[in-house]
Amino acid sequence: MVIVDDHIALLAIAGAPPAELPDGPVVTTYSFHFRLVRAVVDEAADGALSRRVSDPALAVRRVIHPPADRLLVLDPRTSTAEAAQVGFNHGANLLLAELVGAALRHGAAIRMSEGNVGRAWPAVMTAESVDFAVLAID
Amino acid sequence: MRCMRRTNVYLSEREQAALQARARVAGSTRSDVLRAILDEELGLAETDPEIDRELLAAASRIAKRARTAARTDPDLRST
Repeated sequence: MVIVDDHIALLAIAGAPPAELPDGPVVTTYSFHFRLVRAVVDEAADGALSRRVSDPALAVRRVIHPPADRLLVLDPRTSTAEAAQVGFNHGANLLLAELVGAALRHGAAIRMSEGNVGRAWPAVMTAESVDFAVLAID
Repeated sequence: MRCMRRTNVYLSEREQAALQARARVAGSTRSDVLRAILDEELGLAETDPEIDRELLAAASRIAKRARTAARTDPDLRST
């Protein structure tokens, strides 16, 4: 299982995940999915999406309810204990705690886009022995 | 017709009765009804390559927007 951030999740929904990822669906956390949905809803609301997308409502629905053969959204309740421990150990915010907690719970790798990696994140991943890498996205 | 594989699924009597009833009302088959339910639940019902292309073209801008919006939220900040 590979957990990805909102940028890579959107590429997966569109059917064009980075080549470095294995075949099959990727997963993301509820917090990253929320950020993605929020951004798409914002785009639809201010008209930015409609300038490019013929049916903005359909595009929003597709991001809210992604095709399960491309992207799955993890239920945060399954890894609450691990996330809370990560928050305690590293002073992590919800986004990072949920991400690392989910990786620990599911034995998953984490792949992020460059713009989404906080300065302290690599050290947290190393301390928690999580398989972590940053992908260059065009 | 989509390429399909045979799959055996155990259903309760209640599920079978409901499936049969839905198929009868829809003038369809139980298999068609099951596939429609699965497609809806798994997000496979609406497949539009044009939407894929358009989301892909807007992906970088949307991702930047997500990061920017999250900067004001301590719980969702990534940097």
